[in-house]
Amino acid sequence: MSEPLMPSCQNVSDALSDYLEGYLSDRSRISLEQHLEMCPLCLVYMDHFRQIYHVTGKPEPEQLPEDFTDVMGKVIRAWRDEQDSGNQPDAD
Amino acid sequence: MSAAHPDDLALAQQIAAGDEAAAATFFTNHGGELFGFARKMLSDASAAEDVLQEAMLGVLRSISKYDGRVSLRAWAFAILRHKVVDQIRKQGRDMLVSTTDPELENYDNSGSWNANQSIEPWDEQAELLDIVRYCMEQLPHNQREALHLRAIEGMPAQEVAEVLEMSYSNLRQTLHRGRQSVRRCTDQHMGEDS
Repeated sequence: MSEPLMPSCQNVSDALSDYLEGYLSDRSRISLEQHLEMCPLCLVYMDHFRQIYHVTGKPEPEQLPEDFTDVMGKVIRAWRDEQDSGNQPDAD
Repeated sequence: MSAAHPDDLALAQQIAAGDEAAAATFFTNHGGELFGFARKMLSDASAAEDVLQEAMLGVLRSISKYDGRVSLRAWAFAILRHKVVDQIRKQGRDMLVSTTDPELENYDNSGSWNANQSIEPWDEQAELLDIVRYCMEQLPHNQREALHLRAIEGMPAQEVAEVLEMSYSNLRQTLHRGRQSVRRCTDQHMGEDS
């Protein structure tokens, strides 16, 4: 299927994740960048979207529950007891 | 068929054989990110702890079924996700799955921005992170879980799709819609603050 020479604003908006992930073909990427050069509204939208892309993709600091080690120990013991007694309920 | 994750398969076999230390190492290495996901999806630390506990037991109970096709980490996330969904159902919260494109109304028939559409640059001093986190909490469940999983360090998109039991292209679409929704929500709140 042939791609349009110049994408619409809506096409640009729809392609921004793929653009930022590097999934666009060279031809599509160049068309999108040409559109951005000529469309101030899309350029601001792109700037917003890029910030959202980076912030939502940022890993947050991990935190374990305070009693994690105790809980994990209980879980492992419960599992061993189930195995020893031959009584293993369905996992789900 | 050879396993895509032979080291994980060996670890799973060790655990299945009753190696408690191997199980403890796995949970210690991944407990933080598993808990973080449950916490984000349930917005309740106590419920998240319960769900994590159930998920760990679920992992151990079904460890002998692990086949190495996805990483053991992603496999554990998939079990946790089922527990999270069960918990949300118990709480009676809506499982809102959105596949709509709320951006459509922004454009005219030719795909250009509507004449009255205005998009202003954001104030660089604004607390973007706080606003974005708030906006992520407002997302439909499917977009929220996709974005949270995608943000987990080192988890490839293909594995996120496996955890969410959706196709890779559906995941990309879901992530994109989620980002668009967060952008729109953030834009509204930026406007209120300025």
